[in-house]
Amino acid sequence: MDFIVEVVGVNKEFKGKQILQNINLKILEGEITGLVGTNGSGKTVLLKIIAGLYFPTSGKVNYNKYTVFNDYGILIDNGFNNNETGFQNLKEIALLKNVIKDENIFRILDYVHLNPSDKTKFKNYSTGMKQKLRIAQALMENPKVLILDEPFNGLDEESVNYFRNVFKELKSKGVTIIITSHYKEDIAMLCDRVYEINDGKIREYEK
Amino acid sequence: MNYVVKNVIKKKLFLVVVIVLSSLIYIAFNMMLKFAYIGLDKPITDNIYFLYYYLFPINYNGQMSTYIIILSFSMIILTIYVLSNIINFFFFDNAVNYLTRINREKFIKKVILINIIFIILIFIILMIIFSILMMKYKIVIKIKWYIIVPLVIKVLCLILMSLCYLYIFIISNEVFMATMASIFTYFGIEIVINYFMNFTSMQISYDYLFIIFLIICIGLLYFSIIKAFKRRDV
Repeated sequence: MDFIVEVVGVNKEFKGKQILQNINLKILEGEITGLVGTNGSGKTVLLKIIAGLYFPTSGKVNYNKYTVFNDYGILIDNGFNNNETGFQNLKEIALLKNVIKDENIFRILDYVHLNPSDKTKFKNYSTGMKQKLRIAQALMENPKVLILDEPFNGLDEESVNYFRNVFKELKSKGVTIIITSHYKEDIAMLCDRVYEINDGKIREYEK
Repeated sequence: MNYVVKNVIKKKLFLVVVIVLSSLIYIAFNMMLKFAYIGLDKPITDNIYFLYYYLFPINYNGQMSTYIIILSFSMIILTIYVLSNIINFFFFDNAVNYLTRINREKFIKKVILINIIFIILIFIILMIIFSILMMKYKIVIKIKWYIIVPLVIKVLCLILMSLCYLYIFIISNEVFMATMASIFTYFGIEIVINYFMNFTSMQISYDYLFIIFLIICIGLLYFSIIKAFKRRDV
């Protein structure tokens, strides 16, 4: 199986503090790879390095087959305009790459169980609705690779089960997924491969 | 662009701050004009020096030091406040959405362009306030070719100040440092203008060289910003 992302000897420091140490990792195509670890272990930092938002202090990230701009969908601290609806927010973001139409946005909102015609502004969304909109923005441009930082945060049990099936379905269609989660059930049910980050170091984890 | 305008300009706090600062600019310069013309009973014609004093308040030789300070700082704070809102929009609220869809160079060029557009917007606000005051005092400034010079220099100063803010913010990630750098840039340029100002003819000596110098500085900052942003964590 080809790798999609290869992290080679990555170290990351912030203001003299070592966050990641000698991270070596291969994300294989078509797999769901999980990253687990306690709060502050460096999971989100590693995801941001893979997404190109952060740069490693040393080491490098190699990409194969797909590029972040064209093929990735990313859910990490995404911000939205509080005074616009879910549809308006997604439409504005979609204009950046301009590869999808309004119908696609309607469809994806429906897919994540948000009402596409809802006039509620983002600031009045519940936590769960906000998270669903973040998931929608990651999925809407039919990505080949998904990077999802704690995608189930704020979701009720029914939504968690629903999105677990969504991600499994995406995997069956060949989408590569990198996911972080605090929930062991997600790791057990979803991931083909799991890595644990502890004190900035990584090891493959036996499920 | 529409997205940025909607997100930045339509915030109530943003509008309130811009109106308050614009009002301070109006009040300060109004007081300076009133003081300058107490006792005069004939209409004033072709006083380009009002334009210079409005655009570069530190050069004002009158006694209204408090109002000069209010005028100068209101202009600075207005510019920096607008810039910081744009920075917040791009670097905090929407960074992930943008940087995972367009490449870094395209992103930062977009930020620079939006900065410059908002600088021109600030300049238009300043000139509207100036025009209202000139009409109020029936002061005529004849449109001659050399009236363009102080206007061009002011716009270039504001652009330089905004790019300085952006550059220092990118390399330091500190709003305070970026603000201080902008303030020093602004006052530094005004002090230089004061040094080269010929108060008899109300012209800046070597004004074309000055303009070229500002354009070169802007160009250097532009490329420095693009280079600095290439490996900046967002």
